[in-house]
Amino acid sequence: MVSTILSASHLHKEYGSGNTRVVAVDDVSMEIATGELVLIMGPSGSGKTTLLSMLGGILTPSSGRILLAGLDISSMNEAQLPAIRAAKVGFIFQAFNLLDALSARDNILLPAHLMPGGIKAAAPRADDLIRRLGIEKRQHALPGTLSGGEKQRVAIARALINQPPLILADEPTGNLDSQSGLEVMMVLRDIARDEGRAVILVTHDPRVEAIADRILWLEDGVLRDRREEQHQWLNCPVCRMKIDTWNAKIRHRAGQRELVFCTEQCKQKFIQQPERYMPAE
Amino acid sequence: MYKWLWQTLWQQKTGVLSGAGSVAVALVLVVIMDASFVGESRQTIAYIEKMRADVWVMQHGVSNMHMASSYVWDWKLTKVRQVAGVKRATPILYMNSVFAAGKRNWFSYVIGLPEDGQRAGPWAVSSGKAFPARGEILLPQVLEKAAGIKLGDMTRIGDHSFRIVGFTRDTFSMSNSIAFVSFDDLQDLIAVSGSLSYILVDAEEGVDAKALATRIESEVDKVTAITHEQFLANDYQIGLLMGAEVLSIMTLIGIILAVLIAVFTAYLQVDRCRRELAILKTVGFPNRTLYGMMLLQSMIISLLALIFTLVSVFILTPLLTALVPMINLVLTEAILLRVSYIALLVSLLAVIPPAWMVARVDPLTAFKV
Repeated sequence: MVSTILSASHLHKEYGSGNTRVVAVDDVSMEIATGELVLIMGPSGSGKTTLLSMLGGILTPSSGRILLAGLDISSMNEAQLPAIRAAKVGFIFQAFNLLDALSARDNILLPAHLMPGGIKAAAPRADDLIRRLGIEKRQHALPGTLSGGEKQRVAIARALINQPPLILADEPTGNLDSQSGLEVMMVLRDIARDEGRAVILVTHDPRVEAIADRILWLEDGVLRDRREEQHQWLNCPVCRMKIDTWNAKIRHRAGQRELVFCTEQCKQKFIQQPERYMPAE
Repeated sequence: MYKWLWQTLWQQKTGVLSGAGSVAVALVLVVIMDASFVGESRQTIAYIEKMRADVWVMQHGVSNMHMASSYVWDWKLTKVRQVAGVKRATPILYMNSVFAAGKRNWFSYVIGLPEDGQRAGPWAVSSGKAFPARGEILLPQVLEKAAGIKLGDMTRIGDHSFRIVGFTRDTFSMSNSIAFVSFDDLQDLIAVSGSLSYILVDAEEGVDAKALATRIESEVDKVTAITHEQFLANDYQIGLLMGAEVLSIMTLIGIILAVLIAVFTAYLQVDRCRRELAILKTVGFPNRTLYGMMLLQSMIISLLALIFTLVSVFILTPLLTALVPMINLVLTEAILLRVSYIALLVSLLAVIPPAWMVARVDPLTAFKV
């Protein structure tokens, strides 16, 4: 049965004050259901990691509310949040973030120390994850000897060891070659579809869009649903740079046609010499 | 979790061992200072300890020997000898002074021995005569090397010259040594006559020393009579008091040094692990668990430092004593216990700054590439 595992309403996060005030996330609301794989995309500095950190109980929002598995984590204090993170959230990072001193298996079992029963109770689960992720032969290796893909699979197993209902992944394919990246994406898709966990992915990787149930676009701290039918790539008439029409802000009407430009400079160049840059119909 | 800490320390063993070694250097300094102080303090009571007179008789109001002066009329010696239970009474004349040997002066107890005063003379002679005649002096053997003197050389105390005729053992410390001259020479030196300083009383067999001391005080006018144990304790206390402040300051400096080094080592460890600590926080480890790890890390470093310290002092103590005979180092259980407490204190104090750092590690660091 599909149910809402994460509900965020009117999230707002700002840093600093006065002239140095920066709004990182502005009035973001979202709901994520179990078994759903949601992509959060957007340009660098748009507030993706801030949003992810708030959803995972690392950062406290300036205002707004986050319900994770029915618990209001936005009102919890610093002492309460670690237990929530340990039990309810699995994190996957771009830099893998494995502990160098521990073997792959010990890294996977690390969060289990925080759960009742400890690593003893989690050992069969670890064996199962190691087998499913195809790292049996590398389970006793130190992270320094693993490939990028292997490291990320270890990190995924670590995120799953406590069976959290929510997985948050920050650019999980960012440091991987295309094949490894694809494999990791398939694993994340299976986690959502087969295990019924909610997966939120922050990524710049357009290949991931194909496996996502939903794509959210975050820009300047504001979140928007991005539907496929609104998604169209055009070239800037002046410099030929590719522009997403859905996201384009600099526009100009030339006769019956609406053109989009990458920058204001290109738009001005066009206005000065429209006959030179006017694209063919 | 603790496996991670242990493995991390093992991976960074060079840093950990050098940190523990540096802490150990500070602790070794504390131990050597302490052992040297105990050695010096014990040396100040060496004469009393070796003489082992049952009762010591001295000027009324005087109760010790170190840095003291005592004058008793010589006729009281006869009175003491007449007290029931006294087997033998040996007088000595005594002063604190300096003698010249080599290129410097040496602080010393100068003991003036009467002609029949072998009882109060040196207990171990390494070379030369065992008893001084007029114009002669017996000095500590250590000075043979330290001051470059030999038998037959001349030395001076005040305006009197003495020929060195013997060298004695176990009579030297850096703060105090023991020189033996004749009773008459010391009498001339002090410019007194008809007086003596202390009477060493040996009791007849079966006579209680405390009771004998009481009897002497009641039968001999205006003298203080003290048992060997009490006299020894009084002098030891005086010795401790005179050096206690210096020792306290040096110990404090050693502790501060050890804490600073331990803090620095722990700081470096935390700094190296900053990202991993952020990961642990992100995964859900609470601060209190990380504080516990910092405490354990600090205790491991301090324990290693303590082990290095104990091994070092057990090697260094006999080595230093052999190489530098002027130094009296005495290791006692109390010293070793004290340095263990200091190591514990260091480990507790050294955990505070790293814990402070751990509390401020931002879990968001884990998201940075």
